[in-house]
Amino acid sequence: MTDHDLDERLESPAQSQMREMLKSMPEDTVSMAWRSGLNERIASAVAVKQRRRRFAWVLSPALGLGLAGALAITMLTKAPTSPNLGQPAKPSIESNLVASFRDSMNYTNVTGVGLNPDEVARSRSISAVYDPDEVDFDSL
Amino acid sequence: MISKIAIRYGSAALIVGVVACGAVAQSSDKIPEIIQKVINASKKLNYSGSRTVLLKFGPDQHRHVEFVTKNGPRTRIEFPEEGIFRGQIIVETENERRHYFPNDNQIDVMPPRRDELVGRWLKMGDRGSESQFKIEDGSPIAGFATKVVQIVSPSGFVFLKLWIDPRTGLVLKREFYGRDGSVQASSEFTKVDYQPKFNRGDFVLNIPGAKVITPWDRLARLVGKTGFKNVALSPKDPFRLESSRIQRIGNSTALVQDYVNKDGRVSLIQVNSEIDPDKLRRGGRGEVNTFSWQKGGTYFVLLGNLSEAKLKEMAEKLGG
Repeated sequence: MTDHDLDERLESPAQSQMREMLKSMPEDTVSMAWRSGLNERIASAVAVKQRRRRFAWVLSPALGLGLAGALAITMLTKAPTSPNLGQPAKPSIESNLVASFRDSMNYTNVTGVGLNPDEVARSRSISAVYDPDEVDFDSL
Repeated sequence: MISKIAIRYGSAALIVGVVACGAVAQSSDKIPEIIQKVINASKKLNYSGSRTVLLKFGPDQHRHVEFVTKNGPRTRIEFPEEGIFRGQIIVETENERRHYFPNDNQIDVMPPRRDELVGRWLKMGDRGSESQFKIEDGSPIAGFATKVVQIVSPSGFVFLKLWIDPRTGLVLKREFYGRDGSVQASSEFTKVDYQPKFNRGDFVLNIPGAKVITPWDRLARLVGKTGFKNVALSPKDPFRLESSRIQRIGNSTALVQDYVNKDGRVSLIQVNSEIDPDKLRRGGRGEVNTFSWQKGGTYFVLLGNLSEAKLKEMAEKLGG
């Protein structure tokens, strides 16, 4: 495009109409009060942002540590109640019955005609065996 | 005495004789000679002595001393003045065992134990066994040379050791071991006199004014107090009631009745928790035979070193 072509286009009726329209619009200047207010709001926003950054700098690790601690506590307190997590299975009543019988046989192999474990328990306070006169039957 | 495990596996089919270190290999189809000697001695031997008994009840350990006087099949046992068994006296004859409790001024009368214990030894010769006996020289006990009989389970676990005076057949020391190899119970003579002096009345126990309590009296009292069912073998049954007690088994409360005779020992257990017969049988692992049934919301279990058929027969007598 040559300078001549450019001059022609600028002088076109459409351009002239646009020029007139813009000239007719009221001039809107930015007041000093608004500029000052804007500066204060910017400064204030920056300060808040800096405070937030400082808080975040302090709080982020604390929050992380707190979360890690809470997780650790949860794991420590929850782990033992987890089903069969390295814990031996609780003996069934059937195996307890057999073990009790087997033990009584084995103990009497040693005690012979002397005091057997039940008779020892009668004179001692052994929790496994109860004497009828010493038992609170309602609590059984 | 031989443990239930040994009884179950019967005679020693595989006896490992460590001849090089003085051990003696025994034949596989009969009781070792030294064990037979112990059985014979239990009916004939005379001695007096003191022995220390150790029993472990879980974390608790109990130790006491017994003063034993033996005249053939008759035994008298007394206790030191300073112990918790002070004043108690046990007299066992061929027919019965009497146990005096001075605090209650009471004599408990029950079947003799010797028959059942000797029966266990004799059974060893009757059944095929995978257990082993190892017999070797032992250290002196109470000043007497010994032979040690180790009874080894098929898995190689020594569960019982007996130190026997080979001259007399007296078992001077016994130890029963847990699976971890620790001693669970032991009995050891510290003094023995093979020429004791007996007094008249040593093997008679009658205390004027003492109440005489039979196992049936005790069972009736327990049934009356607890509400367990009155189910028991007849007093005329060849198996005699030895004792009954309320016992905590796992989380359940059970009424346990022990019956004995020369064929063995059987426990009848009543419990209100559900019993799975298959689990029970598996728990027995062939070492303890079991039979169970349920009636009126109560579960009954028979455990014993008898055949399952014999237990079933017994259950029928009990309404099972």
